[in-house]
Amino acid sequence: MHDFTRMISVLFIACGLAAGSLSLVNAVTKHPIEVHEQEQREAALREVSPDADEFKEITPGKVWEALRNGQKAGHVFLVQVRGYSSSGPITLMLGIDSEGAVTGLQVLSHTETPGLGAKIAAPQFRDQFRNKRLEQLILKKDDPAKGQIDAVTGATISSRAVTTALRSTLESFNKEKAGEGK
Amino acid sequence: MSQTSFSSLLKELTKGFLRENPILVIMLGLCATLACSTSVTDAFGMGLAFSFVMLCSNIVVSAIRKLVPSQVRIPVFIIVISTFVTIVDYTLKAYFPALSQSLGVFVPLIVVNCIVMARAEAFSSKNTAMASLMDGIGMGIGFTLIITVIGAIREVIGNGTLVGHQIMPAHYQPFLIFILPPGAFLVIGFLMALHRKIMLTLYKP
Repeated sequence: MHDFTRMISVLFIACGLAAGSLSLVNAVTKHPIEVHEQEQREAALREVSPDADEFKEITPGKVWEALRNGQKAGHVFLVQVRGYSSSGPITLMLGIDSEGAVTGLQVLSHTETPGLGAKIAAPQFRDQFRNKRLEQLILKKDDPAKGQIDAVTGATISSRAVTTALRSTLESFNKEKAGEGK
Repeated sequence: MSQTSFSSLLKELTKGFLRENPILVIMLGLCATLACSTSVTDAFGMGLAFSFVMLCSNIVVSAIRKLVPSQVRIPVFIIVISTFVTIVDYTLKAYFPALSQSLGVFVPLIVVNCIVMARAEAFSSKNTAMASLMDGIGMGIGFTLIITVIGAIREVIGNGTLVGHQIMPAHYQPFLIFILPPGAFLVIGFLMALHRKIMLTLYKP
């Protein structure tokens, strides 16, 4: 009986100490982590839409309107898509100009395989999207005629996920715009 | 084992380098080794994070070894290890966001890295805090050293770069397999053979 209570109390104390120290660490690091995320988001907005000088949030955390000198210059979208990794989505930021051509792409977060799928975040992959239009947003190996995007070697699934997500975002955005125009 | 003379402490420290190297000899926790050794930077970062967790958990496990009843020692070890891993994860996220993005999911994986658990069970739960400290440092250095070497070999052969700089001639066609998991097994296998050879020449009279 004595052993039993001792076992329980030791486990209880261990859990209590662990929880206490973790909440302390959380309290200390919470603010820097939030600041980093905010900074990252703002830097990404500027990078995917380099011509704009102001961003107006249309759908909070999802769609921004890019403005230059108060004039509409394009849009920025936050896109989430499942890549190769099952432990988390790929979060992308996509900028387009008012004609619908891509002005930039950023990868905010992902859990793809380091050394393979993780290369979707490298400039070599992201920069190929610049100035591409909707119909060109497809992997070369999926549509040799129209496709303009080279997949990352050894990471076709991650590359395809990104390309398809961008394509469907633009498609649904165009549809919405056409609906408003009528 | 219980004597704490300087030479025996030194022995606990240096055994992790080669003689009982966590990757080449103990061969536990290879999952993290495979996943994080595709480039030198990732490998070194993983090595440092691992060393920190190894060191802290060894000290704490050894300090509380007499208080914890043996029936519940494994859950207590797991709580200790996972607490330190979470601390590392948050600290990386808050102060080293670039490294945290590249190590991504692998920092939480240190929790299940069997080397930490194995050292807690096999060494620090039976030895003094000082000896466990030495063991932790030694294992950390041994792990970091070998995973960085694996990372360097895989990055050069599989990607033609070292620490992100192109070092192979431009017409070099990288062997993609070295970036993929099988490449890690090949590199580890060759390193093990080399290690055996060195050990045999060093210790066999």
